[in-house]
Amino acid sequence: MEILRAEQVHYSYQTKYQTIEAVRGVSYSFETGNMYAIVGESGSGKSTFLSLLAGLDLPTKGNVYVEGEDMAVLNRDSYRREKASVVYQSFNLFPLLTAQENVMFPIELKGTGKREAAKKAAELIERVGLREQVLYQFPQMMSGGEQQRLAIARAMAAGGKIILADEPTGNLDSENQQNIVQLLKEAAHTMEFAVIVITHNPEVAAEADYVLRMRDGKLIN
Amino acid sequence: MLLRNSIKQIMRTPVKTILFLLLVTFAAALSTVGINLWQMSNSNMNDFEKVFTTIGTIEQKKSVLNKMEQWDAMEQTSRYYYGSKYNPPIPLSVLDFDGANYIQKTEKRPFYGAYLPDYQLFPPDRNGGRGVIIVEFTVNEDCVPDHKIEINIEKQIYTKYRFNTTTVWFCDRYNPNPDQLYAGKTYVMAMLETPYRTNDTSYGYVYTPIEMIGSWQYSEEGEVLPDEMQGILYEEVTEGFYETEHGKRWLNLVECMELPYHTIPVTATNSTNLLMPFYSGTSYIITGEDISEEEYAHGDKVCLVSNSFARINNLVVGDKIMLPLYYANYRDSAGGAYRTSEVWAGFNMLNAKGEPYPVFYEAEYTIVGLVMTVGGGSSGYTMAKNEVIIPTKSIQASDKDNIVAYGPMMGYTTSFQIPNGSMKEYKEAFQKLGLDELELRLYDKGYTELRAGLDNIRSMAFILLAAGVIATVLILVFFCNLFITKQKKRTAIERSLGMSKWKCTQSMISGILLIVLFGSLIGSLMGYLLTSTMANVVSGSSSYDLTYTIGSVRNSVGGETVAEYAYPAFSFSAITCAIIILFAFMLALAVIANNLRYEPLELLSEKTE
Ligand SMILES: Nc1ncnc2c1ncn2[C@@H]1O[C@H](COP(=O)(O)OP(=O)(O)OP(=O)(O)O)[C@@H](O)[C@H]1O
Ligand SMILES: [Mg+2]
Repeated sequence: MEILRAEQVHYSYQTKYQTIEAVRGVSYSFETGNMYAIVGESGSGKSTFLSLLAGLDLPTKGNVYVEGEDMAVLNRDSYRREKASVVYQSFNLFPLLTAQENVMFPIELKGTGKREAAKKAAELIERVGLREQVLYQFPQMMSGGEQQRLAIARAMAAGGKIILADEPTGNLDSENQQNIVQLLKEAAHTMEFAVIVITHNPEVAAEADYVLRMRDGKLIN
Repeated sequence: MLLRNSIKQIMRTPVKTILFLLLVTFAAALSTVGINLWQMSNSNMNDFEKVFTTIGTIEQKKSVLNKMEQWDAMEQTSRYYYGSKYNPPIPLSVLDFDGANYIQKTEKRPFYGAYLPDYQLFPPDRNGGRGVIIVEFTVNEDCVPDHKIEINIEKQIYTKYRFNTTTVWFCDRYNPNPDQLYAGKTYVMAMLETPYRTNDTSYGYVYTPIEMIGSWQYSEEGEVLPDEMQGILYEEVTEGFYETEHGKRWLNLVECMELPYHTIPVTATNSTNLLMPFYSGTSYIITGEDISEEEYAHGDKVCLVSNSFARINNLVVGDKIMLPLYYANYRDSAGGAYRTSEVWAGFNMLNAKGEPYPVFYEAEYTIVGLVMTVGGGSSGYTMAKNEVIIPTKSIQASDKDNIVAYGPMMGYTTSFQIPNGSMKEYKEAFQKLGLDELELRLYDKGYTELRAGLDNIRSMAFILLAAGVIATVLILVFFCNLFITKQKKRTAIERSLGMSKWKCTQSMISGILLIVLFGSLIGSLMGYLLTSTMANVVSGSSSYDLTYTIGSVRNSVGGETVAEYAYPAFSFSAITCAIIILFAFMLALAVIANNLRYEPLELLSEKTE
């Protein structure tokens, strides 16, 4: 079923000296249970488009619909809290919270009690294939692959159905890259997430159900 | 959850956190010590300004010291003594000079005699000090009383005490050229018993005439009014003598003789501060209050009376007393005039018309305070027995026809008040006048030195306070930067996870504020305790007293503490603490607001950590 839809989405960055049109009229519909890959040259607008899907900002023109509702009228804080999570190339974990606490964070943010959150976090951490020992470790003490798994676990923890990932494998070796892709694929196929992954890596793109190609802020297929 | 996560994260950088806590504590302590010291020194200064007064006295110096001779017929020798002479009194107006900044202009105080027949002024058996007797007498043969002769008391015209001898020894002993006395004539005179030395170890007594019949009234300008009876010691009483001018005057004198026993001295001034007994502390208000500045300024009919006088006459504060004033003495202070006798003030009782001085002003005064005088000794600088103090302006009639004595400015009659700390300027300006004949004495009870000490403390307090404020600001700015700006990313992640801006703010601020809270509470408390301890030490070691010495007058009222050292107010410490917390809160808010300006997308999509 359709969960996210972009309709003639435009976005431009306003800098001191110029206006950069990063996204120019992208329309696409995303469904749960699928993994999408967005590919394209550097600067083609992939990250910008993903940020719009994540509700980090609103399109300057056009609309993003979440389950049929216009993002512009939604509370985007609660959208991110409840429906969509982002996974980054640089993991963006809380360095001063343990692995478990990192995953607990979005759960507790929704008002779940500490005990239950801890339990749920532990389950998710197991689910993404991390050893139990990492629960009390800080992110710095973990490998890149482990950190990215943790980031995915945190994304899943939010309880929404959308995972947005911006080059999640960019900092990883090929073995870990493979694992992460499988994890994301699993999330899409068995846990019914809509997974949207930006990647430069054709191997990663090859695993996706759909591949979106961008150039100069536009979709070209 | 927010608070827990916030604290958790701040506690996980323990070195930074502990450093922050210590520095905030230190800065808070520094600021508190500074503010407390500042407040204490200010409050001390205010107290001292109230307690301390700076006054000056002016005295006209004797122009020449004459060797004077007094013949004593009884001892057949001249006694020599040094008599002082003054040039004509220098007018008060010379003290209104450039650079003289007075709180109370110089006043030359008179004291007045108030006739109070209905009050008890002396214990009933009090000897007047001088047993003056007015008699008519005869001699048995013609003689010159330049030696001891026997006279017959024919009639006692006035005597205060029983006097029942009919013949007494008499000698006009201090008069080098006594008049001849004739047998068969009757004379009238005022006389007094005086001792003389018969040999090295024993004394005899002889009656000596005293000049009381002459008038020594002064004009407003300080000139003695002429009177033909000045210098007369005895006069012949002839038939119908008491109908003559001279005779009537003797009767008037008799009438005056009882006045001193019913007269109290009333000093008129513009400020109690100007009176040396009060300034030195030998006299003080024991009940009621001092005459207020307003009362002095308005000339309200209020007075201070002696505590013993009030007690004997059952007077209390608030009672009214009628003061009929009949003479003015512009030469002495009351204390000086009554130095040798509690009754007789040392001037003649008849005016130039040969009559008793009439009451020139009479009004009812309300007693506002009772004056206690401690320490014995009497001088111009002490209070006289029964002395009453009234505002100069309350007297609404001229005393120009009632001046019994007049003299130049003396330290005990002439004083002024200047602002604390202006002694030096005044002295310099005064010296420029070149009035060598006037002697200036200034008193400030040690204010100048104390003030210098206080100023030092205040500067120190200011430096501490400034250092505390600067340290607080720097520390807070530095750590806000460290904890907040440096954690932009944390805020961005929180935002991307759907945390609202306000919640991000709370998440960031709560941990920091908690540390600031602890630090400033502990710091302020430490600062408070430190200053309290300091205050205790200071007040314990140097509570100062009012012991002081001036030239000829020595007054020592040991250990009377006139002002308490101030203690730090707890509220100031609490306010300091609150201000630090508030400032930290505002600063953190501002810094976070800056963080939140960045959309998380830029920060988070960076590819390297
Ligand atoms: N914060 C920004 N301010 C101004 N311009 C920006 C900003 N972020 C991106 N851009 C510009 O917008 C355009 C699209 O950038 P975007 O990051 O979306 O590209 P991308 O496809 O993700 O590139 P890459 O593969 O290198 O990550 C680029 O020209 C980029 O320079
Ligand atoms: Mg990108």
